[in-house]
Amino acid sequence: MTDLHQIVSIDPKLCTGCRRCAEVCPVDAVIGEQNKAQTIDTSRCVMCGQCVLRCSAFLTPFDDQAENIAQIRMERGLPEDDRSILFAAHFRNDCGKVAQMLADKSKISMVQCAPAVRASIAEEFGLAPGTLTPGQLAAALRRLGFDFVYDTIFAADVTIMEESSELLERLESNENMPMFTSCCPGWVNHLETAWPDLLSHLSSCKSPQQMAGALFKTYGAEIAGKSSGHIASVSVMPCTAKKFEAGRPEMQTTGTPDVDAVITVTELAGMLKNKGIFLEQLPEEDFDTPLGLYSGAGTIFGASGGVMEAALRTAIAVTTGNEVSESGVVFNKTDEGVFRASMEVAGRKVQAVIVSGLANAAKLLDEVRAGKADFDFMEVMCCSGGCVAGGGQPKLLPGIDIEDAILRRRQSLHNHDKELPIRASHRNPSVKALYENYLEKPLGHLSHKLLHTSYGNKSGGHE
Amino acid sequence: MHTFVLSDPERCIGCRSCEIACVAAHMDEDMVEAGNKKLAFSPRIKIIHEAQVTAPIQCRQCEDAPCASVCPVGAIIYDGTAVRINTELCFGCKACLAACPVGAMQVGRIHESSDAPVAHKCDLCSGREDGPACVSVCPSPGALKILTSDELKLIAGKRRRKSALQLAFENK
Repeated sequence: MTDLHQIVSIDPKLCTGCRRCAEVCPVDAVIGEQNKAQTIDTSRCVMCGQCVLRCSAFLTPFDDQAENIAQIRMERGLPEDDRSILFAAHFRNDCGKVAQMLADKSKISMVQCAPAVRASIAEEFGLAPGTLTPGQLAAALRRLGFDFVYDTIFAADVTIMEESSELLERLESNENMPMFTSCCPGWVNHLETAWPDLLSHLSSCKSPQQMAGALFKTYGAEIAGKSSGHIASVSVMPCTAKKFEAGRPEMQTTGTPDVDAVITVTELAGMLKNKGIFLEQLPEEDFDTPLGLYSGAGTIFGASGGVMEAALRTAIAVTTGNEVSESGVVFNKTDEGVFRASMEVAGRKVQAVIVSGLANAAKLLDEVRAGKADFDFMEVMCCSGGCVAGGGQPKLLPGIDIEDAILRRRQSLHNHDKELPIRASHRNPSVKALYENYLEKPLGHLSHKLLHTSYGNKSGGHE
Repeated sequence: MHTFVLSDPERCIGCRSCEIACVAAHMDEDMVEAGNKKLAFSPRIKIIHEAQVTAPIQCRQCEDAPCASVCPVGAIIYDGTAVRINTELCFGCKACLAACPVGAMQVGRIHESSDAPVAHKCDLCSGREDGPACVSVCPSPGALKILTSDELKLIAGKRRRKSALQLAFENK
């Protein structure tokens, strides 16, 4: 029986015990013998969903067990009309919840899309990996019935405003250095479960998903002329750990969850297909303003190294007055999945590290624990390549060159960045307006309340 | 094209001798003993019974085998005689079962392999002196036939010629 509270699970009835999922698990959370059904050690699991992407064992109508299909769908909480293939490793499906929210006419629905969604969803409709469809994605969400089609990238721009200010503040005070990014929930989960003594290094910024959720239910509600209780906030994510993040008790700025439901790229594609909405046939439409307007800097959050590059563009502009479209900082590979660079920020030398793939962070964390870290700022993305390789992304089936597909998805985000008129977060007019009309300033009182939190077992959110 | 065994539905009487011969050919056990021990009966040829027709279906040994290209662990390869499954690598994911265009792949337990279900299909009884066992036991003359590369070339050539003639003269 699948535990519905568990976000990532392996169905013992379908698991063949090939242990290929164990090969990709960054935290060794898949437990079991070869040829026997595997289980997940929930105390270690970071819910990144890499096992779900890798799993090949599935139930077919040709099987002897075919009569179980309806029952397994029910056990997994899948809608009856769901026709997706039942793989052994799977994540919690929230399509039913979203459909219910859309049908509830007493609420205004707002949806946000993570940057990496527009670089991969077309694959579910038969297009090549890396086909970029931001306009059609916005159109599809509108056809599905969302009242406001907003964007996580807008919140990614806000994250940069907050996080770069926080970095400058920490550089000044030299407290809790080096600073770690906090955008990736798999990474945050891992720090909490495996390195709890290093939590103070984590930026206090919420992830873009949670910033967007908090802003939808406050600023967005004001724009829509509704109270926060009348907003249904949904996010479309490339990531299974985002489902967990949205459910954290500290992510409730207005008394209800900032993000009410999270669906992945594959779930959204399933909902669209069930409704007969074919993404590739839709016209290109714009996201709604103001919370759907985004810059190139926020866009590249979906590829590892992107948060760093986005932060640098703003940091360089704020501290030197030099408005750049690209930071020009080149990171060099120094280890498997580890890239380093040094640069001048605010008149001092800053050492930055990018880690792509959770398993590659251990060595650096050991250095931090020993007080021997030689860097000031570290970006960690749980999945190798960044969110474009997340557990909620379209499954790359055997016969597809996975590395090549991830590269194409990454490239399409970088191309998107280059074709956008505004490429730095602080120049996004909607972000400027948000600070002028609402938040006042980065790290101000209201942004502290809405956009920051504290992580760890004792976390209770800020007040 | 690779050699394979083809059935003639008009001649097949649906007796299932081929299924039994297939299991016997792939098992060292005596068939009666195997029955007593309740070993899995996993033929690599499957009789399809319909009201109007009966016919065995088995692997066509496709040249660009779809089963081989979808196998996530590279357990299916062409060895120069047949498209073959390495049961040590196979972990029973069923990707090949879904990809096979003729429904010839089976996934289940086979005796003398692993305890877990694995993929199995016609291997043309390689190593067996008299060729495929199903063909030797079939009581209905011509119902099962081994088509060699040359014969297949001949048949394919005839069909192409027929199509060309159809296109040129009959579709006006």
